Order: sequence, then structure tokens, then C-alpha cells
Amino acid sequence: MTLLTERRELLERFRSGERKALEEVYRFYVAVVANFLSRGFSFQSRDRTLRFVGYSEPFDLDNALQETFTRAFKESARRGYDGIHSYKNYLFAIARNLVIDETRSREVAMSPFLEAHEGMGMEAQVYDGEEAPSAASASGPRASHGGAEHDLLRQELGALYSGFVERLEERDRIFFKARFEEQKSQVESGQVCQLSHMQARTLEKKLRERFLAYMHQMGYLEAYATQGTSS
Amino acid sequence: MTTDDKNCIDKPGHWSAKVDQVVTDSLSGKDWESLRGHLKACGHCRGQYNFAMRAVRMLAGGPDAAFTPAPAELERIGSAVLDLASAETKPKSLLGRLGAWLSTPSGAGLTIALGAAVAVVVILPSLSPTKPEFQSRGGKDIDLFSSSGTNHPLPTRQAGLRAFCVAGSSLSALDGATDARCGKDAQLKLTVSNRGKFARLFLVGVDGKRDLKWYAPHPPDSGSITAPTETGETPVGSAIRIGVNHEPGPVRIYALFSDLPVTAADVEAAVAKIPAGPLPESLPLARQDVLQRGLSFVVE
Repeated sequence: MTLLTERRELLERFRSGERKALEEVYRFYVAVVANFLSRGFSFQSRDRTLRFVGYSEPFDLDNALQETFTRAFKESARRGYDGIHSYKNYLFAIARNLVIDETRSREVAMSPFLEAHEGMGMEAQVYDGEEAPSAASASGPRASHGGAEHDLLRQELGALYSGFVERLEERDRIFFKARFEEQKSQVESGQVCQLSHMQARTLEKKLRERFLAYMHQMGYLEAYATQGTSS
Repeated sequence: MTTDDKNCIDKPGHWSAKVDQVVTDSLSGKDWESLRGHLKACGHCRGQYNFAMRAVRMLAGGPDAAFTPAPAELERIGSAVLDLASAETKPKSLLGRLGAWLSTPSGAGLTIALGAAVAVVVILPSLSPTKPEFQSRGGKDIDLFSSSGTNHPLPTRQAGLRAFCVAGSSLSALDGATDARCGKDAQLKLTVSNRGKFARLFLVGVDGKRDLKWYAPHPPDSGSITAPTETGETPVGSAIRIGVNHEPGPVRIYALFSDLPVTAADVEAAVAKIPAGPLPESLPLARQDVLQRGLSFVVE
């Protein structure tokens, strides 16, 4: 994963702030940064080793991702990157600093994301910008936050998903499978069921709206009101 | 329940509609930024968003994909990041450089001729001084839970308020001047800096008759707004036409930075306690967790 160290022309365009270059860099690294922020990392505070267990709720992760790349793409940060060392680690360091800044300024709100790392012996390492180990391997089952709750949610989502797909007519189901399950492009998905690009785009819009209505109808999107709030 | 939570319940449907647009992939970039700002402070809507996003993620690969970001989600975030970066990389105009000069102490308090009053809207976003965002912290220990935490928020956390009077083709900084004046025909522009990363901001003016000017939030909203997260100076709201609700005489503007929301009732109670005479440096709020910044000027 050495995009900017191997492509000097891209590095120059990136440093100058060219939008296409920024977009290429974002697309290349966003998944690994999301993974880093989801899995968490360890750090030291005075004499203690703490572990940030990672963001599991979608908004927490989305917000942290956006803040990380916004910081990383500021002119000062772009020009601060030396083009020699790993840009991935540079991004990880920014993400890590972001989390620590949040922890400093929002101690109470961030407390669910922290746990002491006492008694972990050699595992209590500081990952200063390096890729963190998986949450499970670093701090046991507790860090794989979600657990049974996620399993239940996965089951519920699975049942809802199957119910929605079953209700679709055959052509729509074929398109749905190609476009959403197999992640084909709109054009490719349309071709699977003899639709033009325009028709495919219209069908996708309708399917999204039907999916939204279905999730409301089944009460899934109303459930948040009775299940409390995240973080 | 926070004030934001209550606002959601008082205005049902507004933010829910935005969350629904996430599912249908029809949320504009501007609306996403607006929604994101709201979700930071509103647990109720954040919960709704989290449920909705799992549904969106499921659309990109089935139930097993519900716990990893969906392509559409990453596209939306990427667009927002690129828009912000593009805005920063636009070349600074002469007016922009002038705005940057204005942000220095030597520039404050002086009146400077500008092309047009409307240009202030362009200038003010560029007032933020650049600051390296990435500073390697190496292997140093991090002084977490120090006095900068919420238990002791005030001694070490910083925030600032600035105000500018826009009159025709001239712009003058009202802060730092000993006898700052602004005409009734002029407009007022407020900026804040929030290096202390306070979560909430309330901006209010009080005149000699103890009449209140609600700069942010605007009625009917009554809770402090989400504070800007940028490290430099950030404009708050649009320009305020002084002639609309300001009478000739002294006005003091108070910026109330906090982590928990300040309400209009808190402010009204504090203003009611102000004795006759000059306006105080700080509002006599009953709360101790609010950092106050203020400045005074005279409406002519």
C-alpha cells in the first residue's frame, strides 16, 4: 500500500491540492482508515496503557472518517507529508490524534470507547500510527463490541432483507441482486435484465424508495426510538 | 434528554426526512453537512441514522455487510471531504489576503476600504490562520484526563469572539477598539474561534435597556448551537442588519462556550440579574461550566 511513494506525479498533484488526486488518494485509503478506526488501538496516558476499542456505530465511524480525511487533506498536512514514509501510517497517526483529541475534550462521551489495558503484559503495546491488531486479538472478547447484540441485529436484518427480496417481481429481483448484492454498476445491472442505463437508474431509485418504505412498514426504522441512543 | 433531542421531538420529521434521504441516496452534500452537525449533538437522531445506515449497508452486499461502511456511505463522506479541501485550495484573492491581515492584532480596530460589503462573506471564511493539523506525537505519553477535561473545562481551554462592522464599502473590526462604533445602516458579522473544542455556542447581544439580541440560536430555537469545530476563526450565521432590532446606544455581545447546552432561559435569567449601569464583562450565569467572551460597541 504505497500509492504516493511510488507515483511521484500523483504526489505532486496531491500536494498541490488537485481534486482528482485527492479523490484517488481518498478512494485508495478510505477502507483501511475505516478499518483502523473500527478496530481501535492502544496508547499510553501517563503510567497507564489504554485501549480505544474502536467505533462500532455508523455515525461515530462516518464522522471520524470525515474528520480524519478533512485534516489529512488540509494544505498544511498535505505539504507536511514527506513522500518517503508510508502515507497509510501518516493517516493512521492523524486518525489516532483525532480520537485522542476527542477523548481529551469529551471525556465523558468518549468513556465507552476506552478501556484499561492492565495486566495485558506484552500485548499492551503502543501503536503509534502503525496498524493496530484486531480488537479481538488485542483485548479479548470484550473488544469485539457488538457480540450477541450484533448477532441478533444481523438475524433481524437478514429476515427483513429476505422478506423484501421475496416481494420483488422477477425482473426487479434480478436487477436488485446484480446491483446491490453483486455490486455491479448501474449499466451492467441494467444489461442483465435488458434495461437501458436510464431505465436502470430509474429502477434503482424506485427500489431504494420501496426499500425505505418497507423498512418503515416493518418497524425497523422506528426501533431506534425505543432502543435508546448510541454513544 | 438534551435540548437537541427536544428540538427533534418539537419539530418532528425534519431530520428524519434527511435520514430517509440517506437511504434513498438522495441527500445533497450541503444537507449531509447540516445533518452531520445535528447528529453530533442529538442522540435521538443519531440512533435513527445508525439504524438507517445499517439498512443502507445491507443494500450493498446483504445482511453480512451491515457492519462495514457501504460504498455509497464512503462516497458521501468523500464528496464532503473533497468539497472542503477544494474550498481551502482556492487561490486567495486580494480581499482574502486583506482578510487574513485583518485577523492580526495590528489590523484589528482599523477601518479598511473594501470593494463591497458583500465581499465580507467571501473574506471571512479565509480568516482562519493555517495551522499544521498533523503534528507527530512520537512516543510521548499523552496527558489524558488532565485539567482540560470536562471536570475542569475553563482554565486551559481557549475560545474567542470577534465582530466586524460592514458599512457600505468599509469593514472595521469592533474587537480591540476602545471606542468601537457601528452605524444603524451597517451590518454586523460575528466570528468565533474554538481552540478549546467546546461543543456548544450561544451568541447573544444585550443593549443598555437590557434588551436581548438573539444572534445564535435564532428563536424559536432556544438551545445553544453546535460550536464550530474548525481551529481558526469561523463565521457564525449570516450578516446581521443592525437597523432591524438595534437601537442607538451601547451593545455588548456575549459568546457563551460550553459542552452542555445553554438555553435562552439561562440567558434571560442572567440578564435579569444585571444591575443598572454599564454592561458587565460577563453575564452573571448561574452555571460555572461556561466560558464567556465578550466585546462592546456603540450603535450610532
